[in-house]
Amino acid sequence: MRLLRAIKHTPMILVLLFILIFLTPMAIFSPGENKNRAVVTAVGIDKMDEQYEVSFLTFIPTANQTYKETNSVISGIGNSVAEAVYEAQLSLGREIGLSHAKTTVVNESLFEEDVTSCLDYLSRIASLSENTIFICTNSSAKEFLKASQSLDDEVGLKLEQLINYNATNIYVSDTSLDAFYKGYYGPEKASIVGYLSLESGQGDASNSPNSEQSGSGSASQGSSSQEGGSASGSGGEEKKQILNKGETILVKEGKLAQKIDDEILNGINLLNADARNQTIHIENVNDELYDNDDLTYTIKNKKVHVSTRFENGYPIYCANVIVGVRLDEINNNGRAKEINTEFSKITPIVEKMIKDKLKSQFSNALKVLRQNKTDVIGVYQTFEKEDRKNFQNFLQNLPDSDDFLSYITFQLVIKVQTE
Amino acid sequence: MKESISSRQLGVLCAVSIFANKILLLPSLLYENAKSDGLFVVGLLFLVDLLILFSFFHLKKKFPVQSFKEILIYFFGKIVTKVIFLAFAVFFMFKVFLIYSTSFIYLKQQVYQGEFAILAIICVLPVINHAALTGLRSMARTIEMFFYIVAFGFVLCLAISTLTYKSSPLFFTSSLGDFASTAFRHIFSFGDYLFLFLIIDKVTLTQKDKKRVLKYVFFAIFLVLILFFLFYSLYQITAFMHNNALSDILIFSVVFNAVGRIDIIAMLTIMFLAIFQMELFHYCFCDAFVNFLPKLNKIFAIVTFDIFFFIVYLMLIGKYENMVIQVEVWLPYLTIMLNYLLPLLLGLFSFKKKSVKNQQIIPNDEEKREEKGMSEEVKI
Amino acid sequence: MPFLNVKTEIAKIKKSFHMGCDFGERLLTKEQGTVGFVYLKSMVDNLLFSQSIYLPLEKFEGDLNATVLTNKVIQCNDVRQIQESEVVDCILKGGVVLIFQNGDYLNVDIQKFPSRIPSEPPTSPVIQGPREGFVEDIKTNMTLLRRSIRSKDLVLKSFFVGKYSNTQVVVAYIDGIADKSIVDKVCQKIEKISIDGIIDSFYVLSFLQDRPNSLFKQIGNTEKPDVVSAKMLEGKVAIIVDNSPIVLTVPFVIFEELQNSNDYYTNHHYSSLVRVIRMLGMLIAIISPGLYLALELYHYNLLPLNFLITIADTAQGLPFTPFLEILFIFLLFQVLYEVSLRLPSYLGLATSIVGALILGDTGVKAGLISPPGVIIVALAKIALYTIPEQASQVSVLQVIFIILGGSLGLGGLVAGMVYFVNYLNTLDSFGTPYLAPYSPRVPEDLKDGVFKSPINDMKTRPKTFKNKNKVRSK
Repeated sequence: MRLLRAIKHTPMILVLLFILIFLTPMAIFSPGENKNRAVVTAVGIDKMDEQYEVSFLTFIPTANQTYKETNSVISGIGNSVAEAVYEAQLSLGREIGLSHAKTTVVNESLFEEDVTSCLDYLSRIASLSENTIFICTNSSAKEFLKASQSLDDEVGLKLEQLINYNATNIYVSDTSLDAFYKGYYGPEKASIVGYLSLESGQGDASNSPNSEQSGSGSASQGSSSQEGGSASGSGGEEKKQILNKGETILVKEGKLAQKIDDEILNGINLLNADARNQTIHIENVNDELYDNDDLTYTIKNKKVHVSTRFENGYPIYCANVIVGVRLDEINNNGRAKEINTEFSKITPIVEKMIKDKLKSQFSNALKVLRQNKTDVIGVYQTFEKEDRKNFQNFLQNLPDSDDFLSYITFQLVIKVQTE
Repeated sequence: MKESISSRQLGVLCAVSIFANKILLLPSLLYENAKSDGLFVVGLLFLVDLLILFSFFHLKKKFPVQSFKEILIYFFGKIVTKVIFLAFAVFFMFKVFLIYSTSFIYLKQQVYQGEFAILAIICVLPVINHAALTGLRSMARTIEMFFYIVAFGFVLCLAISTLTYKSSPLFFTSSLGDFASTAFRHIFSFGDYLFLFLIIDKVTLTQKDKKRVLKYVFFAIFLVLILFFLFYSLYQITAFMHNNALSDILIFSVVFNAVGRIDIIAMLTIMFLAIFQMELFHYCFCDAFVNFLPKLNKIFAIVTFDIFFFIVYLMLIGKYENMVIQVEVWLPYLTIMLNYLLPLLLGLFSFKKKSVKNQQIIPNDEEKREEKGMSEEVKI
Repeated sequence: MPFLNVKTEIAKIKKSFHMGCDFGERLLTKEQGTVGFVYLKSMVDNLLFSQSIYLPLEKFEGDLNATVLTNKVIQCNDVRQIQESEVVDCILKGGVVLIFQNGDYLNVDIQKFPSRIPSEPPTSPVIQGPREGFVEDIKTNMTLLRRSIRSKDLVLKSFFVGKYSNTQVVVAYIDGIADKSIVDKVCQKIEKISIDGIIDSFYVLSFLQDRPNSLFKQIGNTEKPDVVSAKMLEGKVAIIVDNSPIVLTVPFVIFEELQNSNDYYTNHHYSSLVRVIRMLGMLIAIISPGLYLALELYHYNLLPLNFLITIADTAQGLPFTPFLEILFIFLLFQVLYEVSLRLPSYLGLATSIVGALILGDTGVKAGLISPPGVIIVALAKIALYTIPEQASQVSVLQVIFIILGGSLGLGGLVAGMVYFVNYLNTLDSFGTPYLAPYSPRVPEDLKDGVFKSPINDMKTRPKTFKNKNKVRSK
């Protein structure tokens, strides 16, 4: 009776009772979501013999006091990505939780066809976040994930940290899944995706973590680990190493168009004001200051002003680039010279050589972009914003509107100054 | 004055009433049809909503103490009044369903990562029932209490996302036809200020008070427009893939990657806003229902709502696409009738007829309402 | 003039006291007549009785009547003529009643019983400011108030409540500041109390609350005279109950609990900071165990990866599920708290060591409970005492939010918060909204809200509740 009176007085007691009777017992015996689901930190997708293999780098909770991740790679094979994920879940005995997945690695072979067909399920149904880093690799994605495990153990570097470094300093563009989709669904249908290669090698990784240095200066390697076990460097066995050469791939309509090296990438990034810290190497400089010296400059700041105009119905893309550089090294026949204040100014010859170098880089990059019909430098967007009507007319008159880059004239004015 | 609320509380209610699905699903739905011009669709529909707000001010000036029922009977007679109240009840009921379904889908994807139908109903239904039962004043005070925290959360989300702002989206790319059809299809997501008419007798508005209400209204509209702008700027072509605008604008921020799931701010903001909006519209449903069937009291209205909730949940909300069909197919017509025609007619009639300040049009109506349990204690 | 047989009258009164062993009686027979003395030995000052009443009377040669004795003989302050019906009452209150042959009764109040001296209350010590606290003796308490507010407008209205205890209840307010309707309502409610006894002010509190079944108290209470004086200067009404060092104040708003007397005796910037911390403390106390459970049971995806790793690693191999683990730790803390509260201080220290160090540390090392679980519950339990006055109700809220968070997840916590705030908004204390000045928002009163302004900025009395004479300072 007292309870009835209390319920009449405060009906919410009824709700609390309902919760206590029906839901709390279930909650009391629930082990928690993190035990019901495998926490995935990276996803890898491979294709072999018309079948998909989806691999997950999952975090395995271990009772220890180090609070360090213990990971394992599990994978499933199926006719579709969904089936492969299901198989992986079966082998793991738990559901896959993709909310903490920060990296998606896709094997090069998947780019032979439209890669979105394999990404669609993960991003749409399985809640793979669009801010996940999206990269391509030459070898199997599964092997790549295995190799990535030892990065943390040996050089204290997580895979996403490595790629974030690349994204900020080398690609100077977002390498997320969303960035890829932006290009894919955009009118250009082109995107740029990060590329990390996996190479075989011998040696004890724990002794020489940076034995393979790439051209761009950021390199790391890993040792393959046994499936399901924690990563540990063990000498003698064949190792797969993640090599960072600063490479990227151009993707057109979800398919691989061309792999590009850091030189071309620097050319592409010339018009990107955020792209800094690239080095410019000029050789055999002879003038009042230098005597057949090799100079290395670093771009420390950059200002880019873009304008567009149409002449005879053809678009002209004008870019004024002011590059602030710093002299880093003077090399004379293998001997390094001391950099004094006298070298702080840029001589006309040096300026010309730097300009020529940058222009040639850009022209090479443009050649590649035109060849692959991949506008990843935002030319389409710029014209759409500045003069949409004329640009649309121009596109309509083209025999292949996808190839619009080839018909656009680029006028580049570069000014070099000290930082 | 019974169940009266202050002008600040009215402003807060107006501000809170416009969020929910506008900050979740609507930006991506509008992008699908009108591209970035969805921003202008929202702007246009907000403008129309503002006209409703001004027509409310006008009506309030003409009928300072009368209830909406009295005003309607004065203009249209008893039978039409009943029909209008029925339409109001349906309108607000579906408003609650729409907000529930969008929040449900969002929470299911982002917060609960799986089935949580029973949990969602237990979280929402008792709270909104309790709010409707305790009345407008305590509800308005609750919303007022949380408003500044929620607004801070909202502004924080926008501020964090501005760190990733790169360039503005391309505007004026959709055709006029697309623009108009998009506006029509999503009109039900607007017209939130209709609730004002139902509480017309529960607020006193001086010129200063009106300015205060408008301040809150413009603040809320500004926040929503900024959200649309930032969302379209950030995602541009992939905006159609992102169904949870306020939450999704945060996921690319540096802070997100450094701190962790910073979008928990957005989640909490959305949860609070959705509950408040549902509380308000549920209250409006009950009010309209009691006016439609004056012999029944508020508890009956709440029970009716709950029954409909379960029926509609099984039929529509369980499958979200069905709810979208309802929203886009027949609800726009109801919205146009209530949201545009009614205020217009009321405005026109009130211009024609003489002002009836401080005069009870229908005697004893207030007393009848009091008996039905629609009133609360005296204002403090 | 009636002639009374004093001896018979004394016997009659003694009989009415069931011939109690502490019943005192004396008879003074002189030529001028006979005077009887009746009193309770345990309630009066025996020395004062003999020196100020009996001896002067024995020496007095004049006519023995009430008026003469009052004016010329008895050397006490509180002497008054009473009716026959009042005799028993006066004796019970510690008076000596003189019975005259002519039927007059005289009460001399010389009550004396053991009483504490005002000392710093253990519940609200201050770093700066007055260190006095109320005591059980109502007279001392009234003195403390009078000393604080030396104004003729300080009104002390007395009531006697309780069929057997006959406890004195005093309603104190400042005439000209307190609203009459509130005073009248308080007086009416006290007059209406029908109970066998009032042991403590909490008994009165239950009768004053509009919704006595509510979890949330709607009446303020304090042990400090300076706090009561400050509240009365705001226009509040104080209720002092004999035998209780806790004085009640009405109207009450929940944000009063955020204020501490120390805030007014220190820099206002610091006070504001401390208030923010107190509020956060309350929020942490209520929400954190429920939130931790919700995150662990339903929303692992909301935890940053590094945090998730720590939690998952530490929870690995525990025999309890997360819900049971939190309940177990919660129970452990609550038991320890109850034990340490009731044990003598030297044992209390030992219990703390056993509880905190041995049980907690060993529990973790034995793999029964996880460190994050201990930290969260300990944090919640410690945070509870940022506002000790609210500790009891917040403890109940903690349990409710553990159930909500554990059973419904984050949605349950949000819904619970909205529900409780909505519920609090339906409460009012003597016409004052419970959550004022934040809900409804009263901008003028926010000067003494979470952020405090200096005293000279608070020029008006709070608008949140009814009071007269709004201006405090110019």
